[in-house]
Amino acid sequence: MNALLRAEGVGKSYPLRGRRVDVLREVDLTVRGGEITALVGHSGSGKTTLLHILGLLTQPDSGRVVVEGADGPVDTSGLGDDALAGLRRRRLGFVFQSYNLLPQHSALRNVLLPYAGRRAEGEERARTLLARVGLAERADHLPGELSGGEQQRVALARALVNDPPAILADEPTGNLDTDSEELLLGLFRELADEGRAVLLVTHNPAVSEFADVVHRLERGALVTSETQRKKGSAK
Amino acid sequence: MNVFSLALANVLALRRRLFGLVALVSVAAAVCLGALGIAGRAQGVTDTGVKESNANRSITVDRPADRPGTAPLTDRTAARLAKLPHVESVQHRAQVSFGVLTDAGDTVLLYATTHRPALTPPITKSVREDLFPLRPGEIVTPATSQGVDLSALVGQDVETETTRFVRPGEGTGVTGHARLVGVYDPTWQLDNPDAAYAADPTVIGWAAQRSGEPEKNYLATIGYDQLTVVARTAADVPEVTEAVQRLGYPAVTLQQQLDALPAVLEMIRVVGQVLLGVLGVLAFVGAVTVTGALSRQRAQEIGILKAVGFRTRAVLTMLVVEMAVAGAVAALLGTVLGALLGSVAAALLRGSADLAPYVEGWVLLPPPVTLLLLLALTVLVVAAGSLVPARRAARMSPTDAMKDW
Ligand SMILES: Nc1ncnc2c1ncn2[C@@H]1O[C@H](COP(=O)(O)OP(=O)(O)O)[C@@H](O)[C@H]1O
Ligand SMILES: [Mg+2]
Repeated sequence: MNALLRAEGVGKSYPLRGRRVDVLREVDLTVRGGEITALVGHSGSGKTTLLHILGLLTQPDSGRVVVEGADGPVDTSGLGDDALAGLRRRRLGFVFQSYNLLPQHSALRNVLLPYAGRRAEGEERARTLLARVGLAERADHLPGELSGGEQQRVALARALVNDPPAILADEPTGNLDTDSEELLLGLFRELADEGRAVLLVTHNPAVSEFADVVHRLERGALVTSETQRKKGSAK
Repeated sequence: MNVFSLALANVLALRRRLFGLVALVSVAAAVCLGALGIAGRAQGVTDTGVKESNANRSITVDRPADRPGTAPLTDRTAARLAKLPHVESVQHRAQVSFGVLTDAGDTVLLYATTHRPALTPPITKSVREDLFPLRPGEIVTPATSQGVDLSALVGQDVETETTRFVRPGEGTGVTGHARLVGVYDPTWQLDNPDAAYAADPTVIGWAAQRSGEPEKNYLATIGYDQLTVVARTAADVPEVTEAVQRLGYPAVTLQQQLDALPAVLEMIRVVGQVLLGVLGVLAFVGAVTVTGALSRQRAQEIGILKAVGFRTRAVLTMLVVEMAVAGAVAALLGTVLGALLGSVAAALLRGSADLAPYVEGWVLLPPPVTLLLLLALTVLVVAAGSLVPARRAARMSPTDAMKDW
């Protein structure tokens, strides 16, 4: 499938006690549509940093990120804050480890939050998505009234509200029990099957085994391998 | 999702955390509105009752006592003054002291005074709708004078005591009767504090009797004690005053005399204005503090919004609109509270004889234009106060805002 999200020669360093620590060095990474891509590595290896750079939340020090825009690939280097926000809203969907729902608003309103279209259609779309993640009945519940797994599925519905071609998830099952994890991974698989690019950051072997491609971050560089699953399905 | 509907939903959801600000601003607004309402209404009463009346165009001409060459204030003098440029009319006043004897045995010393249509006292109680012109034998006195409540005697015949000339410096008392047909607000003191209005023949008769001059000659020889020259417009007053003075008569305008509101109302107005300033500062500082504190608490939320694609400007708008809505709620609550407060204060003020005539109506709020302006100002000040902390919050990078990812 085609590359929907690409990091080219991305470098990032942070100051640490007076000197600079290179977290990412010349990282090239392509996330393709129709696949689940896993990003693994030990804690502090820079997974979140790379996901944020790919998600246009953090600017890289060097290199560039190319995102699949509505009319083809967009080089995001040199884009202003507003343009980046627009791409995040319409072309990317985020799922975070701690769900990151707004606690004062209902599930429905949380899903609707980034919606960029007309209000009347938005509500219908949000309800459809909640039904898709199995929460049609919980639309009016506050996040605090939902379990962790349910909150994460609301977050996934929110990520999908503008129908983005790429989904980025940082440790999405980190706080979930195995049942919830399975449910969520099933949904991610559906999204990949629809042709979307799904990037999962994880240190959970069960999750990375589920992926089609696994990238490992080691000392700021990527080591890539295809999983058994991918090899199997490619035959 | 639309930033405005999100802001509204946030205000609803976060109402407990906005309660302090709303309470603060609404109480301040209420006190301010109440005070301005009362003072404004009193000012309005004075404006319509006095400033726009003939009084503002009136020039008082007194007897040329120590000027031998100048004619007394006779009808001829009045006619002469009436011919001066820009003069609309000349009205006369005669005044003579007399006593009213009450049933309780008190004697109230008053000044029988002719009534000038340009300067009608504010009647508080009367036997009929249109008191003036008075009929011979009728008098209108202050509601209270020298500690005696004369309003209780309205409609009754009272015993009077006037003076008859015996020889210069000596007089003898004459008792008579008059009907007390009305009383006026004692704060009206244009004709001295103890003026009692009576029909012209009554006053002239008593004055002539006191002077020893035959009644039919009185106006030609002694004349009135005061003339009121009414100018065509208020702007003509200075010129007419000068013209009168050039003829040798002491003349003063009434404008200065009427300017001042009773001291209490003036104080209330000043308090209202001071409170307006305090309200502004409170609203501003409150908004700065609350927005700052709220956006620190809500950094995570702001980070989430930016992560899912909200622009800096949209987040800023959301935060400011939230505060503006809180400000609007506070302003509306303040209006309701202010109306209540104003009514209570009005009821209290109405209990004071000096102030009652200035306190019209039961619900006292400033006029609609002022009110709207105040409401808009409150909203604006609160929104302005939220601007700086909201901007700081809105400009955080999404990753900085959501540190605990
Ligand atoms: N904003 C930051 N400022 C300074 N150092 C940071 C910042 N973000 C991440 N780091 C550092 O970069 C390294 C990689 O962090 P991160 O990308 O979160 O790793 P991971 O997600 O793989 O655990 C860590 O050593 C972390 O301390
Ligand atoms: Mg991480």
